[in-house]
Amino acid sequence: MKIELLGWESKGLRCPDARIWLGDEQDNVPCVSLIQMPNGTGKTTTLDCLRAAMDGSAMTWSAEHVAPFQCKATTPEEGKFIATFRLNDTKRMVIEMNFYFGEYNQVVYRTTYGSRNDEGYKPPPEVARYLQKQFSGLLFFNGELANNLIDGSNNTNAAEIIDTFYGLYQLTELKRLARSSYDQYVAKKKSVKVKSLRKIEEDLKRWRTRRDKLRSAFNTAKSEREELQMAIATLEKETEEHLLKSSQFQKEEQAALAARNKATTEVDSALERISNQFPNPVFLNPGLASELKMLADNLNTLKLPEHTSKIFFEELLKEPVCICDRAMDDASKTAIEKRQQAIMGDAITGFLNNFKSAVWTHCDSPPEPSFEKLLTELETQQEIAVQAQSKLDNILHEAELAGDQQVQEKSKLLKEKQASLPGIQKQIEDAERPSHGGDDDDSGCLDYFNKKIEEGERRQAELSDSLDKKLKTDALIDLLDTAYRRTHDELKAQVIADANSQLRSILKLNLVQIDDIANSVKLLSQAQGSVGQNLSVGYVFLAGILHGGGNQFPLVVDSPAGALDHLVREEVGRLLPQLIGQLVAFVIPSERQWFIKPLAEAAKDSVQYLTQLRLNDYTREVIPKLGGSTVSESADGIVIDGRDAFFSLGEEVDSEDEPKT
Amino acid sequence: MSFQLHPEARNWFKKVQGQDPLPTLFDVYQLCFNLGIAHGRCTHLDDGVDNFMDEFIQRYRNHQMLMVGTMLTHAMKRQGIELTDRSAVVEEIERLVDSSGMGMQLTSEGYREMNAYAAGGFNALREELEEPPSEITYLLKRFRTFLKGTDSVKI
Repeated sequence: MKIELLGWESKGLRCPDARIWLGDEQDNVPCVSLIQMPNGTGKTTTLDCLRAAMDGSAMTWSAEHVAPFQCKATTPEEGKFIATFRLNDTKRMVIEMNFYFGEYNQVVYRTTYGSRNDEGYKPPPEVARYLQKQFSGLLFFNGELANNLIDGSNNTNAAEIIDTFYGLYQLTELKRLARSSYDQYVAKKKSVKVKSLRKIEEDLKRWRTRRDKLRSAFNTAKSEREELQMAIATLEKETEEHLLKSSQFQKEEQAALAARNKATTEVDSALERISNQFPNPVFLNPGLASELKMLADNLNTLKLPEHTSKIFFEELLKEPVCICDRAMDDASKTAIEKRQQAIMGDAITGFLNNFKSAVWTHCDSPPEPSFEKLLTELETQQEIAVQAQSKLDNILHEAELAGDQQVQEKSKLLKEKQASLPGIQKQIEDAERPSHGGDDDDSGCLDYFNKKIEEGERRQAELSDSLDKKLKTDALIDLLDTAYRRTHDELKAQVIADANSQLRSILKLNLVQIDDIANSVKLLSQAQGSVGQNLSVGYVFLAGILHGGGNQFPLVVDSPAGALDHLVREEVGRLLPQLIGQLVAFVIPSERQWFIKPLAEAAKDSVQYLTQLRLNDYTREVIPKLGGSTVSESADGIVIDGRDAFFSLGEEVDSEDEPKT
Repeated sequence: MSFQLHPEARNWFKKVQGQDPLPTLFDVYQLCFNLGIAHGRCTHLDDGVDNFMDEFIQRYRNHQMLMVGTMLTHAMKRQGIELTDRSAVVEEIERLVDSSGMGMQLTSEGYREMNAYAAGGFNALREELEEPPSEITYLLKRFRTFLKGTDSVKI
């Protein structure tokens, strides 16, 4: 699927009336469209309308939500926002949002696609999947979205994003079709055991409902656990930092922290040393050495392996004459065969030699340090770590008692969160465990219901004489499940590898890497990155997704370089055009430095520079000096095209005194 | 035939497997196998148990001969085969070991024998600990004590 944003038009809304067109005569869009909108020009209104045009969300906006979109100066009864897209390089799709203010305060949509012009928000079905609210939101990038991707909040499920944008949802859809096709087949079969069949069907319905509810609760609990663990880690860190600002406790805390960290490192080191030796059975159980030596010695005593090769005798039997020049008669053959059977195979000879060599290498002297010694060291260091942690807790407790209200509130919140974790943990463990004899239909164990359903389906198939069909359906579903798992895992690994490679090139000084993608994008060795790191991770992850799987979607970015330092700005600026087919960036004058030049170079000058201004006494004075060509002008706003005009605009127009929309 | 764990072992060890010194499932197998050998516990698994690994993993290549030798010694002792009985020893080695391929491999009987000790060891540990382990140091400590509790090795 390819979607391009061709442009938009607004009238009677809080932003100035304007038409911004990104495409040329053939509807080709530039790689990068930079729209400079100083504060007060209606950037937020424009972004909100663009997003609502994509996902149809304005249909559900309340009157209180709609009313503020009305132009304050002219208070018109109606307003309009029209966004135009091009789909798969061919047809245009126009989404028109008509705002009715006053007593209605509502938005009514109209959709034009090809020759169709319909009332309502009606994108073609093949596009609609990508325009659902949770996914269309990904096309509007800002710092908040980057944080959501990393902390998994606001329904941003990173793994689900991969499934949708790479089309893996089709496998799930196929599974549903296979199951429903089988159910329809069973329903049509006439069975003599109608009563039993009905009973099984009712049971199956009940078990499936319960299993689905449990599965959903299980997924929610896992997300909650993840959020809770992250919140606990953050609160622990914040509380600790806050408390220890007081120098009274700082010294003691640092000593306890250093002791704990040292002991923890020692614990890890002891575990690693045990791990290195773990494959050696003699390390684990030194008593085995004497047994193994005894076996090796006995093999020597038994002259095993032989110095004679079994193959030698096999080949000799095929010869007409023996090695002693006698003719190979039947008596000789029988004697040689007898001898050959007593000799071991050559392959076994190889094993015996290797075995003896291993025994000589590993069993002559006991491995040092011994398992016993390393275990004692491990226990000692762990005890030190526990004591240091306990001391640290005491210091923090004392600091908390002496601290201010803010600290005590944080501490209370932390304890509440810590207390709620075991309940969620138990729910997850119950859902994940294998079923046991005590389970019944009130159980929280998923395995129990899966087994009941499997058993019920088999019984249903037997009763309805459709076992063969059921086995085929099950095989198909298994195949689809396997295909989904493998493809999802491979795609995920590829997305992670690509993103990490790009992160290595843009975050040279402060590298962060993606460890995994589950509900959220998990960073290696840390829960959250800095603002700049999160933005960079968000960019490379989304860019990979939006342009993977044969798709191409526009990325609309609000303040693309806002929170980045100048080195990262340059790198991100250089990278974005390589990752994204159409980037529409709303910038403010102060963002131009460090960012635009590398961006334009990387885009090979396929860059459109637009400056949108609200008309007032000051801008009327400035506009003639900017140059460029006017592409849209209305009573309250103007849009100017041109690079020089874009760069000539002084940062003073971006004053914070200007009203924000 | 390949390496198999007791069907409940994977879940039983789930809180500690993945961290040192049990980074792989093969390490769980090693732990169970050694307990099975030490306590003379041998539980043959039913058909249809999932294979978790087809051959010795890289981490175990240097010590695979010792593991196989341990299994051979105990298989022979269990059957009352004297190490001085040449033909019986040869027959038993050929029954359990097959190194005709590229690497050292076991015969189906050999895998079955090793898997039986690993499953027996798992059963013994489960009886000893009652609760699945949730902390690695605790498991290692109990494992060591449990190994030492035997007179070197039982048959």
